[in-house]
Amino acid sequence: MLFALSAVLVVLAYTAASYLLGRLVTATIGGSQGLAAALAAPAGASVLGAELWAFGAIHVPWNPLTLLLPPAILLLAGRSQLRHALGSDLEGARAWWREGRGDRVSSWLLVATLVVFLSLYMWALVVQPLEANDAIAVYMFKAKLFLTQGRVDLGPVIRDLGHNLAYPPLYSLLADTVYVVVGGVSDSLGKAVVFPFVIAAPLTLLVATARTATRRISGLCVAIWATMPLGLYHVFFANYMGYADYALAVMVLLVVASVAEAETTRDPRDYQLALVAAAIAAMLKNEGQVLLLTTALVTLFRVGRRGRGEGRARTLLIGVMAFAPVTAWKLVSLVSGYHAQLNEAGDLGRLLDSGILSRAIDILSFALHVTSFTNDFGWILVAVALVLEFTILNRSPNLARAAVLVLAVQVLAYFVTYLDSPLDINFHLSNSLDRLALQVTPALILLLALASSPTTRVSEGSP
Amino acid sequence: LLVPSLLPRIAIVFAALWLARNLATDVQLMPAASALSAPFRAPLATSATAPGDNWQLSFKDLQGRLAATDDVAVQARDRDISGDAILWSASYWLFPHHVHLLTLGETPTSAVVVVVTSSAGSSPPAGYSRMVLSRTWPDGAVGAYRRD
Repeated sequence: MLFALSAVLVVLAYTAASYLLGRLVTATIGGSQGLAAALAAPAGASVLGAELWAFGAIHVPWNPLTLLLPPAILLLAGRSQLRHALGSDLEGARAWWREGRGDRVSSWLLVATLVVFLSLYMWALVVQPLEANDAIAVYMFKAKLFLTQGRVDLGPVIRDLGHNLAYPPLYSLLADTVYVVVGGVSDSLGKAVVFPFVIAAPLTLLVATARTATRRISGLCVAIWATMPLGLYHVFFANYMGYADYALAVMVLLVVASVAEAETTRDPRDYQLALVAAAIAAMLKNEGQVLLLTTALVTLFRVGRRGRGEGRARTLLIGVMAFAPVTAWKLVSLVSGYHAQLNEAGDLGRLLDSGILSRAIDILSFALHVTSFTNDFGWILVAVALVLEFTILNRSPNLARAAVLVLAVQVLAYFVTYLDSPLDINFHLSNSLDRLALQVTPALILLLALASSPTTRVSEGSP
Repeated sequence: LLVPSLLPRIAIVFAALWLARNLATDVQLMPAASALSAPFRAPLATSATAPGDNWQLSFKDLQGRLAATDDVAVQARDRDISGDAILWSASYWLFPHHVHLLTLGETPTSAVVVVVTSSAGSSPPAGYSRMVLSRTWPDGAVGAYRRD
């Protein structure tokens, strides 16, 4: 029990450190204060992971001093900006509480739900066993391998496709940041590095709905996400613990929330926040690369048309920085010969053969077969139908079309990937459909909440 | 199609039903969470093999009892158990040892055994944890842990 309590303290310290570092990064970007605060913990954790990657590449040894010294210097140098950002976050939380005066019951229920579920998740993440296939074979395996070598190098297992070598390394590097600090591999802590992402999800839902939704609607969408069995399998039960899908789902949510905000405020800095979130997603899983590309195109179109000189230049710079790690990883994979199972016979060639129609029917049949109101799929499908109704027919003023587009392209990319899959389609679907559904569900919940909100969003600021 | 003015209300009612369904399902799932009162310990050890509905996989303990140079092999005698699953798991838990699969036999009740083939390997430790491979892998997945 003492071991578990110590692990909880370590994860809390890790989350707090990630938040501070990430808040400095997002404060430097600016934009919506609430979304910048929500993005802070995942961004800070990712910066620490990226730091290890860079140090490994230039042969700087991985140890607590080399890992923590640069962020400490950064925090010291940016302390006044950080203090200001933290003060604004605190004031924002107070204002949120004051504004809920008219519906205190909903506010208390919302806070209680968050405290109960986040505490349960935290406890489960450190005490549950590590037993999920890909967590063992891919993410935590690579974390061990990287730690042992002190660098991101998959050379020792290059012939073993079972480890899906072309997957981006960020999630394993997140585990490594904790391993480096505690001085060795810990399966408990490795699984729990998702916690900065876990807390970012309700924060994002709250701040993204704050301007338009009633306290009751905000609370509903946070509670739906917190209690959804599909998510519990990643953070409460051991089934999928150690997978990167939950973290990716939170980043998809942050991208959609930032694009929706940017469509209202027309502030390029909100698009920049979306780019940062999409870059993190792209380094977590390959699915995130589609998200990054879509977000970049939407940003290019919007900021290119509306933006002014400085806003455009900053957005371009952040766009280049967002693509840099993804491009670097692609180059490393190419040069080193890293492959993933899914890429072996893929490369979109199967989209052109004659079996494409029957595969499309197989995919849709499978999806319909598993859809039921006794599992999450039936509810997700109704939510999709409602969001489409709001978007296309009802043309809800609160629903940013660009945000819907980002999510729609993501879902379309999943469908195309299935069509092009070299794996047996039933095997592929039965092992991934629930995780892909999870990736888009929090963003879908957000869109539903925005669309059904009674207040019209007010445009603020200018490019 | 739905009447536009009613749509937000319909969405909110739907969201409330969705939440109620989630909570009802969570309550049903709670018995599976009873193990949360005891933290797990990861390292695996050897165990006696036991026939049954599941297959047992026995691993050497990692707590300093294997030398880094030991050559570790996995021996399986059931074609229904994926060699990939064994290797994935074994290579993780026994990391950084090089792990390789020895045989895939046909005896239906035999277990999967991990053996140290190096002469420098130490004797198995006392106490054990189980690793269970379901016949229906990958749906059954693997379980590998010991709780305090």
